[in-house]
Amino acid sequence: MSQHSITFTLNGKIQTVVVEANRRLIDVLRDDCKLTGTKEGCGIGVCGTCSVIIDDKLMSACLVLTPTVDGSMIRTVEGLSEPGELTNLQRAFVKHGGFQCGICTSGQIVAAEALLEANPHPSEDDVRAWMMGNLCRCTGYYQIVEAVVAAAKDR
Amino acid sequence: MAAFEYLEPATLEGAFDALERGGEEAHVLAGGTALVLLMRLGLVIPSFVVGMRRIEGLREIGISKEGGLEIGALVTHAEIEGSALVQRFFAPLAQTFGRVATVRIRNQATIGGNLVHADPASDPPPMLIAMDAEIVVARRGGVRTISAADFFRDLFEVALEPGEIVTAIRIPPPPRGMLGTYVKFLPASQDDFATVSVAATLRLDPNGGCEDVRLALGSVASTPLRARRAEEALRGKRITRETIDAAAAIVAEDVDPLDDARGSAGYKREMARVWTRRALGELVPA
Amino acid sequence: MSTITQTRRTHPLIFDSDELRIDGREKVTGEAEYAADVELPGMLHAAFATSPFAHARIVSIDIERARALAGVHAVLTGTDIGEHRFGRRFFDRPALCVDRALFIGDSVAAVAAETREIAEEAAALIDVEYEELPVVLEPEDALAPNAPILHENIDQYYFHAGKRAAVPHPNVQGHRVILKGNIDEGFARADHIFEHTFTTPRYHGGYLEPRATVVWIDAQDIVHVVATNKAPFALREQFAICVGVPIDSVRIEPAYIGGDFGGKGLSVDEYPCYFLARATGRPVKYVRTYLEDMRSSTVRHASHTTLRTGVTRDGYITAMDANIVFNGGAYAAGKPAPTLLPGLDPKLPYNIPTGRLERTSVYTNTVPGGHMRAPGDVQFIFAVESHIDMIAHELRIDPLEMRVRNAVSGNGSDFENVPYLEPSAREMLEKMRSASGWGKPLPPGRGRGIGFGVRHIGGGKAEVTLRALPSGNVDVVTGAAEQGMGILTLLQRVVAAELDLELERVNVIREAAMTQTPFDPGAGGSRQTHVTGNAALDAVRRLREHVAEHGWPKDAPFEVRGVFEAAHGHEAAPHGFCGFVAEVSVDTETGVIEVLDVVCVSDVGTILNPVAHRGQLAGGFVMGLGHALTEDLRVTEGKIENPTLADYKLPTQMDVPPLRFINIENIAGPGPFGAKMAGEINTAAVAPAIANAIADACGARVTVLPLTAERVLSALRL
Repeated sequence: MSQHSITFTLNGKIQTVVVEANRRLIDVLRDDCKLTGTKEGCGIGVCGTCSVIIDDKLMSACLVLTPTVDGSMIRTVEGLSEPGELTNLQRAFVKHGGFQCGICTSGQIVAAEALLEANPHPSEDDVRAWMMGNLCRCTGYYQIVEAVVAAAKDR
Repeated sequence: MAAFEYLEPATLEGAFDALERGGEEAHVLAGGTALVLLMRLGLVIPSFVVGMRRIEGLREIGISKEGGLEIGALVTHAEIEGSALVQRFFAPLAQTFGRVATVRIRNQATIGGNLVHADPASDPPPMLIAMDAEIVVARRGGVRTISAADFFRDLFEVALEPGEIVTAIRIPPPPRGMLGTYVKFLPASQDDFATVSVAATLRLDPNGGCEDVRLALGSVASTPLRARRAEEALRGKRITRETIDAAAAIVAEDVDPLDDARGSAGYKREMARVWTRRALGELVPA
Repeated sequence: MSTITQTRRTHPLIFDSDELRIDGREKVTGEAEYAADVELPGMLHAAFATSPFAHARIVSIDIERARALAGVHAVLTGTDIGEHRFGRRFFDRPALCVDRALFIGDSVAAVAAETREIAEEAAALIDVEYEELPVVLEPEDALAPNAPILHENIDQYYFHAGKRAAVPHPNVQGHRVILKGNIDEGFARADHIFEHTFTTPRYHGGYLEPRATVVWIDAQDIVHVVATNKAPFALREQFAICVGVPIDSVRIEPAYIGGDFGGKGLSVDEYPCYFLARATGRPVKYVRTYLEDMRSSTVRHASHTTLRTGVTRDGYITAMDANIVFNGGAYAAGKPAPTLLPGLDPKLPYNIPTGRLERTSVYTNTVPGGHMRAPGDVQFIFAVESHIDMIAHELRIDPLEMRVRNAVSGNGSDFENVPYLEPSAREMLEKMRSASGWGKPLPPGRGRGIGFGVRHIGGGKAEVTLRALPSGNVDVVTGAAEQGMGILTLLQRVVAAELDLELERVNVIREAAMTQTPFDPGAGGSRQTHVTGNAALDAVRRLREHVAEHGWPKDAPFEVRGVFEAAHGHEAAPHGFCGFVAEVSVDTETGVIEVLDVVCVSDVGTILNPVAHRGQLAGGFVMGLGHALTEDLRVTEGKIENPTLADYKLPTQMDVPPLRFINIENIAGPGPFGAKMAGEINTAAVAPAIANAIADACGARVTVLPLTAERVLSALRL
């Protein structure tokens, strides 16, 4: 099958990959670009574990075919903070216990980041509605909402 | 997923060429939420995928000189939901697109892709039907329109011929004072397809009688259903609890729901009645 | 058997500040490494050919086309590797089926290839000829006189650390009857006898990390296994026995686990991947798709419970006859209890003067049952708590009052016939009364319901090593697996508090499970804080003794190993209660239930990690909520109808109600500083609280889970 040369910016840096068309973005990020912060959960775009931001829009990396991000700006969890530092949002997650096992946490953080970019002062209802697509089996969600609301106040 | 050849033509003509080359096993890729999922689950195995993203003119939302809305096939659900133009045109239409799935799906999935995927549980089709939407379909050498009500043939099957591509959706301007609502019945999880859904648009005459009405339901048959008999029972009558109940009862007779995880056929039939009543009741309180 | 030696102590580090989890930074930046993230040079990827039939004899397997595919390094069948069965107690599940497949999705052949895509393509090219056999899907079919026997050579299977008890039918996995007192006399004393039946479905763990493993054998013949298994030492033992290598040659490598909830105590793919690694000389990785995880790993057992209870006219229980039958699925491998039943004997917070409790798990040609948060209790407590309310309703006694009357106290006891150590059931109920506004009138269509449960605090044996460093810092070395409950942070805080050190001076190191590593029994059974925490305290005690005599080490680190052991599942073991009062409204036209308010009253002892503790209570509640309202793993003809998260509905942000906590901390537990446990029995008490609230709201009594709107509507119309 044909190979496609796909160029995108990944967390601010230009990347070019040569892939077959059936490669999902999540696999290219994890296997080719070696950024394993984006995790795979349900594999069908429901759980939000693989949330990434493409051209400022929150999307499921498991549903994106790599050729369709040619020319796009992609941000993953790794690109949200400076090396060795934590954003206010990340600190809020630690403080409020917005995680336990951590497998959904990358996706939660990316989704919350996208929310705060779209709506810097979300109400609790806004947070719940936006984050409905990020499943968590450990926390029951209460502390995730607290973390996001606290981070919004701090921003 | 299985490998396939992928083309991103720059023009519609290029897309027609690509579809012809690919033949029966060619699929159009719009947002990808449906197609990538189907490919991943092995339910669809195309040898040829034609990506639409480079083609110009498919991403705009505009108002025609007649005052109607035209939405390009590649406009996403999120863009429609958030469009000030659509909200001013008819707010319930924008709200309907906001009911679809989650924010991620709405960012990726397109109106064109949604219509062609033809899931009878999907949210936009009943509202588009209730607004007399027309679907613009292009093929090599010509363009035609199909009314939304006639577009859906069967479960996941639409009235498109091979080589045809949906390019836009046109919605006539709602008559002055038209009311509308979309009700999505979710008895369990809030992140789900509707167990039943009801799109209703209503125009009242100065005496409070029903000048015109549209009722379209989702998840009650193998395609979205326009409840014409129930509309007939309301047209020209005063909107009262009795006339609403009578219309809702007719809807319950005319639906043909499937037994599935979201409800038995009997339950959905009953809920079609209840939610038709409630949707109309929302538009004409007391 | 442990006795409660810890009393509540004050210490600024533990009691005055919330914890900041030491794995927090890694997890919020995406740096945390899980099994699926592991990549090694030369690594191959596995895929499996699995049975499409619920019960079939494997007639022949042709691997030629698969083997010939470019990029394929090995194709193995059960015949190639031989009979290698595994399990947590009873080793009945084959690494690869040898002559029979026993459920749809049973692993029949394994492929290792350069990429996952090639491996899957090769697996699809494996030609298996099956001869379909008669299928049994329900326990009653499997127990019928002429039912096919699923495991004909069951007497040859290995039973770990003991002897398998005799069973009344070859398709019974486990069977146990407890008798207490003279039940006929008990029933004779009753003024009324009530009998009700209850049904619960299969549930999936819903952990968002699908199972994954990497297995490789190094030049010294050491087998390395990265596993999503929360009990790595148990896995090590099971693994060595199953594949036939010395236990000293097995290392279970540490990785974070993305949620477990019990099911990941059974490893499945690690075994065939070992044989692939051996055949290819390369590391082999297998990451399940979520569909594969839902279809063929383990699930919570579906159950059918019949309860027959005699009561006086004032609602005092005189006799209870309980019979619960679990659908065990094709293999019992997922169950660690020697009885091969899910969980241990269930506890009840009530006096049961005479009783009979019979529990049976049955082999069927369906997806195997394993452990999941409050195993056996979710099923049984739903039945008992609903039953109590139904009886109270018939007797026109307030359901809370009926519970207070029967609450275990004094020398009372439940089926276990051992007096409670601290009979605080009444105190719990009174707290639930005041916190919920019980008795205050509600508008029509609204109701309140109670769910009340109790469980033993788990035991086991654990070791923790402390390394005192000349710098004044301390390393805490543990073999515990971190699956989310925060054990590493807990150890840091406990050691820092007890040694009076700043938290920054205490560094927790997770080590691979190997011979020299401090032993850990693994998370589960509500044991970790108790057992591993106390092992850390024992290590501190020994270190203090050494330091008192020799001073703090100046030149070289000083190592000391602490150990703690408590019997697991012992009748007189300490316990903890948890109760919910739920307030719901029911739309009587649609049957839709809205949960408006929930109060969770838990008897938790000293809270060591307040933030994580709250998370455990909340998370356990929301899992219970999912079991109550939205989750149902549906199986038809042995095939799972909804093996994806699109159709198996986990609760979302928008589905969770307001939740209030009342923590009772003054009853000391056996854990460090008086800690008890949290996060397991709560899951079991949620569904009955909601079912009881629905009945209170509108009179609809649903005795089948989940409590769907359609079921409520049907019950309303009865």
